[in-house]
Amino acid sequence: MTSPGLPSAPGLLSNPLPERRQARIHSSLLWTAAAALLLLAGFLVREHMSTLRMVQQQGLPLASEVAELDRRLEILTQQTQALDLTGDIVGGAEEEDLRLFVLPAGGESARTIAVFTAVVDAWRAGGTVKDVAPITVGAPERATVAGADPLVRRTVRMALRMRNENLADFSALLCLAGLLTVEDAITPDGRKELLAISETGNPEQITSLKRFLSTGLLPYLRDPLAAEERLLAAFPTDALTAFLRMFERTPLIRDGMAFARGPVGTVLLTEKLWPLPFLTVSSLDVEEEEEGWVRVEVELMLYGQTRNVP
Amino acid sequence: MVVTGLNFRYTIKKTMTDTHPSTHGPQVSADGAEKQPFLAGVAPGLELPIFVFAVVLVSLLSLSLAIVLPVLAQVEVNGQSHDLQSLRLTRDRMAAELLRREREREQGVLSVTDPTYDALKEFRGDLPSFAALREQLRRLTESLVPEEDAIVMQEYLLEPGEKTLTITGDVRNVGPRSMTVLAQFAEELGRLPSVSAVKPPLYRRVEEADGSMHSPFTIVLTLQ
Repeated sequence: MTSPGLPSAPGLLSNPLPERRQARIHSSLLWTAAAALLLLAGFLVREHMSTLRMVQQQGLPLASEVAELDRRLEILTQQTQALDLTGDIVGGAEEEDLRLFVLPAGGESARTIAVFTAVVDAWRAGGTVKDVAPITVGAPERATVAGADPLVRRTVRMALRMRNENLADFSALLCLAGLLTVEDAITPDGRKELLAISETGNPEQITSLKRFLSTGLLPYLRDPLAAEERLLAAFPTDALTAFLRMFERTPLIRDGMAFARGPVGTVLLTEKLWPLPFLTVSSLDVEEEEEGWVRVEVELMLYGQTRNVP
Repeated sequence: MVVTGLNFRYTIKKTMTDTHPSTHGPQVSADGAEKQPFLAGVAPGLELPIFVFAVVLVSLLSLSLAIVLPVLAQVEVNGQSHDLQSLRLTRDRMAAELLRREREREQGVLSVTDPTYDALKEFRGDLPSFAALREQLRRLTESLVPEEDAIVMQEYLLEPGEKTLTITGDVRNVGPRSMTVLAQFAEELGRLPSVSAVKPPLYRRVEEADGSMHSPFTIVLTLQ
């Protein structure tokens, strides 16, 4: 039964309006979905492209960087292993020299006085020094230096007249006081350069570099060729030759060579007064006098450790 | 038969006039035209193929993004494949390891590793060579004026802690030009590579009883 006022069900179904409308809605939904999917596809294509571009732009440089890091790591591993093997052989003597002579416990001044006495005696033999006033050494006092353990220091004063030509040796002596080995005369940048050079060729030869750096500074200044030839035999590169030539031209080494080969260097070596105690210059007063003489007054600080570190 | 969007809309309009309005029926705009669903009537018959195409395309691209692209984006290093992220992590890890190894090597290559000794050497710094400084000053005075012993340096006071060199001297044998020569000398001192600053002297001319003139000076150089 159907109500008279209402259209029959078949009539309703056969009504073209809802069917068309349904078709239109269906069509519209399909278009919208297709559009959304195509938009998504666009994003996905862009994602592909950006990923591939990123691989090309970043991946390849990263890969070469990683390959280089890997190569250097392998070299460094070989070098550290080689150094571990020689660690106990080289280095112990220098540590002891540092403790006994460079930074003696309590800032002991006997060696300082012995050094200046030997130097003055060497000059006196050549008649190039006169009017040497007594050396005065102050009482030990505590000293604080950033990054260092507690230290003691003493003030050392001396005054004398010397020939002009001795001034260069005296100046070099003050610059070299407290330096032990070649490594102390090389700047941190220079050391980095040497280590970079050691990575070329046979990296395990780094032990030769260690031997070069631990060469006593005074023996090196007297005869640099012996130590340099051994190093060049291990790393026969132009870069190393250039580095050594430049190192020899630095003021410290150039002046040090003249000093070490002269009478003062010789007396320090024969009297076994090398290495020198660690000194800093508080003031250096030089007055020009007649006939090539100068009057020199110097105030130095002599450093030492507060205790004997085992 | 090709049905255009225009005559399709026309048909709808016509149907609207034939049927009674209903709340569930089509929406009619103010001017009486029926509002069409979005995109309805655009290239009828093509929506399904395009939809299917879009579904297939998105599926393939998603599949590619999930499976193919990671394979394509792999970078091979030393026989091992890495994606970008893991390559970055590997790079960072290796760089940190390299730094550690470099420090280890530096410690190993040095015969003395004593922090106190290192701190003291740093504290002392590079002591300027007094002999070299004096030689530089001598060469400068000789090149500045042709007269012999025109600029005489009598005393030097080197204070490395303050990085200063105080020079006491006299300008003589140049007659009334002594102050001019002194000014030139002070200016040239500032140009020396080892000098960073010059405290200018007091400019004065002293006239002696015999009529000679000279300019004593004290100049403080701040060293590099």
